[in-house]
Amino acid sequence: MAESQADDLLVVGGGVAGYIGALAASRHRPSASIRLLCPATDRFRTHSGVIDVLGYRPGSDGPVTNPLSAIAELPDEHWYTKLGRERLWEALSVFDEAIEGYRGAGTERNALVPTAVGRLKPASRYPAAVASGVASDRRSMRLVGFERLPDLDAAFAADRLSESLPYDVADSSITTSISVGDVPAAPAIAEALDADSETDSGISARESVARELRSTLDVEPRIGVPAVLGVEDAVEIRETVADRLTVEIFEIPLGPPSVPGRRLEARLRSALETAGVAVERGVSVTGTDTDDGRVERVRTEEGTYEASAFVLATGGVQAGGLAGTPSGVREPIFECPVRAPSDRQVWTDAAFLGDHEAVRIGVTVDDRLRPADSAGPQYPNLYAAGRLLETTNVIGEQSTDGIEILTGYEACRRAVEEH
Amino acid sequence: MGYTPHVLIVGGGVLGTAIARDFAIRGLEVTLVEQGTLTAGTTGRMHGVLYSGARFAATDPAGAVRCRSETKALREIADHCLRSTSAVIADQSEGRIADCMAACENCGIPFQELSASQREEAGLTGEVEAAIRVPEAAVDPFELTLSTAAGAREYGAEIKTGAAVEEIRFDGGRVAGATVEYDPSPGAPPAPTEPATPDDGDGQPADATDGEADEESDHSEDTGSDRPEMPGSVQRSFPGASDDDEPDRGEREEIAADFVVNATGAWADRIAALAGIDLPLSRSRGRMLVLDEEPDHTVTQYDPEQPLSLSPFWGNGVVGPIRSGSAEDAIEAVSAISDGIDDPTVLRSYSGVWTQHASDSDDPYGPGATMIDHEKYDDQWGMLTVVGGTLTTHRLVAKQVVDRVCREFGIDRACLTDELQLPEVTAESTTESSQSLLARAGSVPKSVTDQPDPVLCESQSVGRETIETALESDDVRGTDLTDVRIRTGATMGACQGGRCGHRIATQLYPEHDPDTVEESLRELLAARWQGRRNPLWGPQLAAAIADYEYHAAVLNRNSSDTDGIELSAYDDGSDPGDRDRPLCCEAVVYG
Repeated sequence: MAESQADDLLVVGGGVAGYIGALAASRHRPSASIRLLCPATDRFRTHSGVIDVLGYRPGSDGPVTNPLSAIAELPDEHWYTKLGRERLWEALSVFDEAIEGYRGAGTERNALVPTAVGRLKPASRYPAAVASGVASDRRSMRLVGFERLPDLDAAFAADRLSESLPYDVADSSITTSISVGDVPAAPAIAEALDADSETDSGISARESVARELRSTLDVEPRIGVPAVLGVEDAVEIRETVADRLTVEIFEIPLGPPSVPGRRLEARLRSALETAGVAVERGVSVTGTDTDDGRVERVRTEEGTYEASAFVLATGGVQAGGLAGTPSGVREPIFECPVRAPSDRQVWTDAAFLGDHEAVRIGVTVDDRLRPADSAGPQYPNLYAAGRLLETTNVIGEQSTDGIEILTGYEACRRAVEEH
Repeated sequence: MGYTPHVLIVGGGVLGTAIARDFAIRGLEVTLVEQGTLTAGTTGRMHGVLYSGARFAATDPAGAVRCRSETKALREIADHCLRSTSAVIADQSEGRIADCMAACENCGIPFQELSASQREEAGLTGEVEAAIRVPEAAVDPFELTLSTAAGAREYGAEIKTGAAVEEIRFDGGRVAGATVEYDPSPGAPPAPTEPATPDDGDGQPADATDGEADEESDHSEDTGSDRPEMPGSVQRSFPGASDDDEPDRGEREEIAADFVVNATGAWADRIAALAGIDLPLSRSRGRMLVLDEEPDHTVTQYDPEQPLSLSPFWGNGVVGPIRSGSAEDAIEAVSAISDGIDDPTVLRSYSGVWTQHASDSDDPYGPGATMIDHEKYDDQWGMLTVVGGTLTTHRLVAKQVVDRVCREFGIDRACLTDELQLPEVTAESTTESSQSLLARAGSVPKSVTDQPDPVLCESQSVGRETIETALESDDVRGTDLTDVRIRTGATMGACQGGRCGHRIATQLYPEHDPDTVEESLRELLAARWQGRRNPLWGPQLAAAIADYEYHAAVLNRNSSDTDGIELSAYDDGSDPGDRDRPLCCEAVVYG
């Protein structure tokens, strides 16, 4: 990388909003030079790989069946209402067309996928690896837990699922002979399967998992396993094992560090490479230069990056894009205006699964997605996207990815069109 | 005489269990009832320091001497509950340490003055002008209480948890017994969160302090019930508040007793009220902060106004007690004298409670327990309340209570609790599980094995077998995961159960049905959240929201039941061209 770069658009932030935004910008202006800076934090560590667009509507109990239709009933301040259904559809199309290995685009209905505690979770787009597990496919299923992976207690989850589903959910568990010296076990098992290394019992990792699964099978045509079947070679691993067993295999996402999250990040990165967008990973912004009221460049330890327009998509409180301090919430790179209650006590709800204000807190923007307060935009060429923005409770309504895709798309599209 | 008195002890903290053990050793019949779980009250809120007495030497020499001798006694009988066995008292002012040394000398408290190079070796900063090493220890109050309870059982004491006293009955001015109600719900004792209101009662005998039972100090001590570490900001008024959320009526039992000892600490006035006795208490609070960094040993700043300690505690550091001022100030104050923490973040905070009789004019944070004989003041024979005191001297307070009660019955037997070792609670479990438990307690090096005992709580290295063993033990009531936490240390790390809670909860399955498991998990996380929420900013806020997302969105635990959901309304995965592999049944038909 050169000491100094000058691009048409610089996107800062390596989450879904940054990746999809950069991709959308390159589609809008294929000639533009676009660069994505991903700070060091591992944004996909907690991503289950499932794409949430809208799972729940405030005040309504059941999972949303059709997210695009449900938008009509959302409040005015919701990003989906503000930017509109058409825009969301366009933005999702960017994801659908560029990201391999995902399902669910052909129907605008949510699928219900099993979670590790036996709940059903609405999913708008989902990895092919979970496709065989959707609840509305009415064939019986079996969950197989791995002893070393306590995030999925297969017997418990199967019992829970049986309560909601009109067909049998069986369970069993296996002790893989893949040796994982230390926690966390999930990525270690995934890496061993990628490498297909030899296990303690002297056979290859994939073969050993296949044999162990084989011994637990019964009549069920599909089996659910913890989401650890490889990162780099995930498709091949799952198909090989499934073919050996003549069953379909689906995965159930686990807690961080999430293997499907790594796969999604790899797919996003590969899509950007295909589109000719430069991606700099592990680069943190250390300062910014402005001139004549415009952002000129951002500085990092490795060099400076100049651009005509900038999109900030560094994430919310959770990802570090916003910093909660004893005196308030701030955006550390540009000191963008942030709206947050000054009383720290109300940032969180009294209940763990309550409606946490901290999820809503974010940068305020004008109608062109530029950080702005009542006096107008902070800089004419700085835009913001994703969970950095002031939002609704996107976790509670399970709309995180949709909000990121939509606002990333919109901010980056505007940034390349307007500058 | 051919008659053995039956003593009922109310309160399952370290003091109540010690009283039960002492009575049992002396051959009396003993029943202890605790409305929540052992250590659930003030004992579970202490900051883990066993005092040498040095910090009280100047202000309360008699109390300091008792601390000195009791710390020594506990080393004899409960060595396995102690962690580091030396501590440093330091200050930026040479004069203050000189005063402290003179006072220690006066009380016979051994100390060693540290030279500049020794101070550096002990992890003190350059700001420290003088420091002494004193024989203080970090103590595990949970393990100490569980060991004491096990010791009481060895001598025949019966210990009942989840048993709330409903009424204390008197017959002709003499105690007859009590009615207890067993908590029917799996997890939560119906107890109030914290004795929040320092209600200064009046009109109670002004000089209730019993001459001989003037005991020690501090926050640890036991009380009735409720979860440890509720934050100071979330309070319900204490006694009687449980009437509001009337639980399902559980099973009741009449327990006949010849004597009742009320050792419920901050809850003592409520228990006294059940006997129709008005017992005004004053309560003081001190906040404790749990940090994500563990110092090597205890360092105390010698400030008579607010002595602040930084102690190691289950892989974390604890700063406290903070009587006034902010968390940031307290961390700054201990960082100024100790290099033991670098850039700590506050995982959670909790409030310790110091209870005194309202008429007691001593330093509310000082070492001094009060024994109130209700015959003397309330014309009710057969009931005694003990409040105040510190964990350091709990054994001595227990001895004095038992001496007094034995005298009432004309029994003269020597107290042996300073000689008889406490059993190790870990001894009953076997092999790997005990290893894991010991690893948690720091007794043996942590070993990571390839054995199929998966680690459920990573930050505290608690394995599945340890949890299973804990669930089978008598100390764990039903499906109460708080008991499991107390016994194993699980969920005490940085995630506060956010990452590991569901793994632990599912160990209750299949013995308990999924709804019960969910409810236990919900209660565990609710209790942890209360402690976690208070100091929330920075990385801890980020981690808390990440855990919220994991539970609410990834696991979808927030969803209402999907029973009766219309499956056909959702994507069934059969989109044309949507599958890149044919269904295996199709392969059979067409292949």
